[in-house]
This record gives sequence, structure tokens and C-alpha cells, in this order.
Amino acid sequence: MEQKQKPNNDSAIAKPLQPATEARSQSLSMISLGWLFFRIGATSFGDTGPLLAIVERDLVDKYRLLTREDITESLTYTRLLPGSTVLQIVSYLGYKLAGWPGSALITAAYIIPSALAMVLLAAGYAAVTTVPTVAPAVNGITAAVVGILLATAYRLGKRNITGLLTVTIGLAAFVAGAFQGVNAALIVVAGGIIGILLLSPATNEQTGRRSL
Amino acid sequence: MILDLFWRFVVISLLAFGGGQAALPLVERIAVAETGWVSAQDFSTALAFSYITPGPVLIMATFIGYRAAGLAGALAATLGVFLMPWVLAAGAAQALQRFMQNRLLQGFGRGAGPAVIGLLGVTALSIAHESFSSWPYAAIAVVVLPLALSTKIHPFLILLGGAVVGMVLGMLSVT
Repeated sequence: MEQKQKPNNDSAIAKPLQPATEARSQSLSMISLGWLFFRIGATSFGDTGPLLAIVERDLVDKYRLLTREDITESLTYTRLLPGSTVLQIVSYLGYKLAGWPGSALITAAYIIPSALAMVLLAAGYAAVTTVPTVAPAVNGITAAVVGILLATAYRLGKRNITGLLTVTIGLAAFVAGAFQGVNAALIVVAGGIIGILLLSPATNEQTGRRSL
Repeated sequence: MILDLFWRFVVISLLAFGGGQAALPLVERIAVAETGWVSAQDFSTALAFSYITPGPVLIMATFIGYRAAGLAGALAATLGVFLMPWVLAAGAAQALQRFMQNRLLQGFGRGAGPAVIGLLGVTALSIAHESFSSWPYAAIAVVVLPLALSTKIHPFLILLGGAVVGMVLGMLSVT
């Protein structure tokens, strides 16, 4: 139940089986860390599962640069933050590995393979949209996306919509967006403000790191 | 245009409470409905491609940026959508745990979450409006929903199935 007091690897030092911070951080250069996360970025399809499997095998078990606690923490805290969770797990662990510059390098290395792939796909897609058979195929994808979005809404909703107030917020957001054309960012901020006023927990949460 | 791409994706990323999936309706609302950077079909294709490629689903920003303004647009959108999440995550690893456990921030997330669900409904509706040119296409969505909900079939395969069915419909000239 220890609460974190200092930013860096206190918890790791406290573990008898882990070498000290100084000794640990010398075993991989920035270049090899960048290369490792480039490879992770090129191969981690889907959710956080594959990412964490590689991080655990290489950085925890093989090089002992991170602890399992670091991974648990990264999962817990990034879930509370806005933004892409997978990327934030990488950024969080990157900071633990090598501070701000390391985190920047590792995050960039992780994102570059998929960004390159997207640019190539976007360029290729522009070239093929004029082919006549492509239009109905894209239309089929678009129709399937509707089903996937509804499934996503259901899955996220199970977690977020828990009572009368949250149902009302969701419905109001739908009506404001669909029929009033209200700016989407404004709708989310308005929901957030209602949340601050009516849904804030009574005290600052202290048990975040234990929730996984 | 480039600056606009950058800062609007910064806004999207900062409102994405609940991860990349929660940002999908914001991306669609802003990139398609509010700015008209890309068409609804481009959005759907970007989403499909973001499932094909490894990495986060918000990598679709790269695709949208490229479609809207070429390579510079791709770079601006990619930087925009990942910059602040990176700062927040690395900051959290440094010292901000206290801040993230703040009750007001948690309250914000609890209220923003349901609003995002409502917007997802709007997004689904407007894409449906765009793509349901005839009832067989609506049937695709009806079949996909339970598949996506209760099976482990990868979204990419589902979308590929949609493409194949669409192509067949096209050949039968059901439009």
C-alpha cells in the first residue's frame, strides 16, 4: 500500500531481486531502446496485450530495466488520462527508462512504423478510388464501420453509463450533436463540467495503483 | 490549414477520456462534419486502415491529415494527436500521480465519458446516412453489430468482409 513519494524507481530499489538503478540503466543504450520500441511499434497489433508481452519479456525479464510494478502503474495511470492509452503506456515506461528525452525518443520510435504505413495507405488509397469496383467496396467497409461503432458505444457505455444522470448526459449529447449541430468538443467539455459538479468522488482517489 | 489540423487534433486528444476509441466520434465530428477536411467514406477507410496497421487506433489522424493536406498535413495531425498525451503520460511517470488522482479530474472524466457515448451515436448515424445507399448495406451493419459485440473476430476481418460484400453488391449493381 506504499504511496509514491518520489518520481523515480523507489519501488524498484526496494525489491531485493532488482539491481540498483545505476547498474540497470547502463545495460541498454538509447539507440537500442529506440530500436526495440521501433520493432514493438511495427509488430504490436491490436490492444495493449502484445505490447505488454514484449515489454515484459525483454525489459523486465531479460534486461531488468523495468519492474512489473512499473507496468501495472503505467496501466493504472494512463487509463485516467485523456489520449491514446497504448501510446501513453509506451511514453510512461519510456520516462521510467530514460527520462524526458528517452520518453520522447521511445514514443517517436514506437509510432513511426504505423505512421509510415498510414501515409503509404493514404497515398495508395487516393490512387485507387478512381477504379470503379473500389467505390462499392469502400461503401461496404463504411456500412460495417457503423456496426463496429455501435459495438464500441455499447462497450464504452457499459463502463461509463451507470445511472440516471449519466444516461441523461449521453442522451443530451446525442440530441445536441445530431439535431442541434453543437460543436463536439463543447459537448464533451459540458459533460465533463457536469461530471465535476455532480460526479466527483468525495475525496482524491488514493487507491489508483491497486486497482489492477 | 496545417496549423488548424495540428491544434484541432490537440483538442481531440485532450478530450479523449477513455483512450483512443473514445476519441473516434470527436475525430469524425471535427474532421468530417465540422471542418469537411475529409468525407465520411475517408473517415471509415481511415478507421479500417488504423485496424490493419499496428499501433494505436488514433493513428488514423495521419491518414486524415494526409488526405486533407498531404505530407505536411499528415505530420501536423500526427504530432497534434500524440503530443499532449505523451506530455501527460511522461509527466505522470515523473511526478503528477497526485494530480491524476484529483477528484475533480476524475469527475470530469465521469461526465465526459457518457457525452462521448452520445456522440458515438451521432457519428454512427451520420456514417449510416452516408453509406446506407440501399437496404443490403444497412444489413451489413446489422450483421456486423453482434459479430463485433460478442465474437473475438478482429475488426480488420469484419471490415474486410464488409468490403467483399460491398464489391459483390456493386457487381450485382445494387446501389
